[in-house]
Amino acid sequence: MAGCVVTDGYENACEGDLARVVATLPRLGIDVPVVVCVATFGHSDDLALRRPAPAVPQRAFWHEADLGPLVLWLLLNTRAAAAGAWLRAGLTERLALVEGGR
Amino acid sequence: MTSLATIDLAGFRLGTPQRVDNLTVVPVFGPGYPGVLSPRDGVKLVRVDGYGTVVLRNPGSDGRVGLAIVPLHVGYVQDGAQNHALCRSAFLAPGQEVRFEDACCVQETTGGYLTERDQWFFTLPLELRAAALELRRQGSYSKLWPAIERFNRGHGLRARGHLELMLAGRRAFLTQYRSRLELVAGQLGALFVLGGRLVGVEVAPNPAYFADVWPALVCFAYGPAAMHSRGDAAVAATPYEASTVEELVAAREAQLRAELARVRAVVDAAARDWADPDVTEEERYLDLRLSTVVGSGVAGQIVSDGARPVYASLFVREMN
Repeated sequence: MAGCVVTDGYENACEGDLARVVATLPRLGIDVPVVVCVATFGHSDDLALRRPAPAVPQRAFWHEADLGPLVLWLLLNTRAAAAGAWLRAGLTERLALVEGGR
Repeated sequence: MTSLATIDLAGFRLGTPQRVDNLTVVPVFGPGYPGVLSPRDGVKLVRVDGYGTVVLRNPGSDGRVGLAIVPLHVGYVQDGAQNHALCRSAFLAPGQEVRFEDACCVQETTGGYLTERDQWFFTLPLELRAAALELRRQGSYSKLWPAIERFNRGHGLRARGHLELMLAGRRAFLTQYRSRLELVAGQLGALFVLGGRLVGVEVAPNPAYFADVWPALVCFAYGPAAMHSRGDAAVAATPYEASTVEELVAAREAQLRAELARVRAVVDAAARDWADPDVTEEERYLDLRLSTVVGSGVAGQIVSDGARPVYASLFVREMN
């Protein structure tokens, strides 16, 4: 299980709110990893102002080709029991694609 | 109209504030005024006819015919041409072409004249707007250069009458304000609060009009001052005082209410500082009046139909 926040990375209601909410979760007995997925306009976006919770793992995505690696990254950051098997299957598939291209 | 006291704000209301850096934007909602085209449809740059003279036309668009109101302090930037900005707003009747012989050049060095090929526009930065308004009806094209030099120096740029140093040099940062602060559906205006002070009030005739001027306002009119005032300190991720989900929700709602109260106090304070300015009529179009507002703390222009506000661009006269 993991909490995945999909956002453009800009926070304008109360600055720092997401970071504070994530920091509060353990006090509520909620112990899940949280990650931030930032939708970008392209691969060269400047994300300096788009890290709403700097202490939380963050990954950007843009093109449809980014979704595969994004899912693998999510699996790395989840504690779901089946995550390891899914990750192994996904990485094995990518390895096979690379080896098949030799 | 000779006094702002007669303006009737019935039907207008404020939305939820948004804040980035030290800039808070409060959306304004209200009744749209019929028959006014957005700048995209009704305000086209035809050409610059010589330094200091800008020609605009209201062509309508896709069969839409209507009055156009030139946004206050609009300016045009093009490669290879000398950039110009206007010192005042104006009415453009359907099909009408108007020569503004009191425009100001905002680029000291590059020669050439603007033509119709690019309609991208900016709004003069807040720090220059009172000076530009005072210079309306004056014919010198270089009249804003001293103010631009001071503006550039204040922002750590080279002291030249060259607004490109900000518009192009800081563009990558400034243009992010249109994403960091979001246009809200149905919004037709905004209050701009910098730190603890109301610095601007912008009201458009309708949401389409406001959507057209929003990027120019938030990025280039208010963006430079916001960029200048931002601190470097990262906000600490202090946990909320909560031990249940309900308490967390309540704590966040309380934080929003506190921000709302802060903004309301700022607006109330401005209502006193901005009280009783001189209001001078400049132009008429049927029932509409375009007036210039100058008070001790405020300046700008408004369009009204009787007591009803149709367009307003008001700002602080001094930044400090």
